[in-house]
Amino acid sequence: MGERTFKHSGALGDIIYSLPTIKALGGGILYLDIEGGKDEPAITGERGDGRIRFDRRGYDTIRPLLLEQPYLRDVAIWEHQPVDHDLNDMRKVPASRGAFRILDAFYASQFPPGSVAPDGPWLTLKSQPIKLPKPIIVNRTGRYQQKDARWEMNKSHWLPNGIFIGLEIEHRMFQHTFDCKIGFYKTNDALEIARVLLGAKMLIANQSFVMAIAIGLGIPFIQETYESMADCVFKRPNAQYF
Amino acid sequence: MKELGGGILYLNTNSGRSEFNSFAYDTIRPLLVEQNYISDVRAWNGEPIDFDLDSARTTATDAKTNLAAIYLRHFGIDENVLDLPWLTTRGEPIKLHKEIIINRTARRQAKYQMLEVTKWHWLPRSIFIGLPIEHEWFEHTFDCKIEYFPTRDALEIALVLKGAAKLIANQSLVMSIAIGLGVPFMQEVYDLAPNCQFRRQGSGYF
Repeated sequence: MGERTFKHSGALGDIIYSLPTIKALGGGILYLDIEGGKDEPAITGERGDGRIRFDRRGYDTIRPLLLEQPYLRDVAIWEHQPVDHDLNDMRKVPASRGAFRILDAFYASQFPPGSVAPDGPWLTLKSQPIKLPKPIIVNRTGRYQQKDARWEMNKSHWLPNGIFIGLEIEHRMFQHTFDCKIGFYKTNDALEIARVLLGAKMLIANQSFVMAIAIGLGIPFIQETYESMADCVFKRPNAQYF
Repeated sequence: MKELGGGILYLNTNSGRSEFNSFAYDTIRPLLVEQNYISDVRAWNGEPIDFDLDSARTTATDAKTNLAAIYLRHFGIDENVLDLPWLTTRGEPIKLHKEIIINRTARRQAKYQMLEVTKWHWLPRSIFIGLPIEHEWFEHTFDCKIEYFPTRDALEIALVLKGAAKLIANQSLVMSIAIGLGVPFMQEVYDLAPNCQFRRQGSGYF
């Protein structure tokens, strides 16, 4: 039997959460669809507008981190070749199968009913950690915000030791929302995000791509949970949720 | 204030709280002076007053208490008055070329997904009002383009709302003006503090 092949159409966080399934299946080559599943109703139907969430820029962002994983021999652009495992099938898994977390949905789409996805970390780095001058990394994206009042209450504890990573607009909006100043560190790709997280003491973030990487790495985090879709919750001794 | 017979409203711009400063005073004053129960609006410089509206904050038992009811309760007034609008404008409504007004501020966001899955129904008929950064953030969050109409103060916001068919917004200043005017709205409710809910025909909550 040849090397297993996998296909994924994004988005970025979902790719990270699919990796434990790929790992459990023995790994192989991951093909990424930079057209974002534009012809797959299970994907486009979620947005209602037919637009996609994964493109060439997303591919370039995530590939360097994926290539560091020992269970991925290669990561390439999908060119409509047949694959052994279409990870987009996770979108067809009904929540009634107990696959409420994103990670569980991927697992349920590829393994028999009753299989349990592991709760432990699944990302490793060959590259060295990047140690920033402050120990707490902060990130808050536009989607999945629900607890600004809790950030507001805790900001005087968190922010003096924090540095923001993410998009420049996210940094500006964070400062506007919480009427504060916080340093910004620009990251070039997902591997650099992972290196920064590995060099930090803790991440405080909402259910974002950065949070997915932190969970994958197993670093301590405090998560702003989006109660309407709390699908990024992991039993970890170093994890807190608000 | 209306139920207490109205009068002069003094606003404290020096409380040290960043939520209310001289910019906010200049923003809200033009709308307040249009109310027939307010004879004037002035910056407070320690003048003696009859009713300290700040004292009503002690009445709120939790974050879910209706923000307008807090004041009525504190001064012993029947809360049913909230079923009727309390803001009026003398100027002509400003009718924009689209019928739905959108506003979404940085704080009190809670239901991103509901807006995401429904946006293509209302976006083509909508114009955004609020701060430029809020408009930029809205377009970023929902990966969309929406026209922007800059408003110079709360009175202009009220006139725009009066000229619209509906407002879709979170628990913001714009939402409070719509509620006060009796303009139909759809409100993104912040579940940690759902304190802006009023009985209004043609309105709803998500």
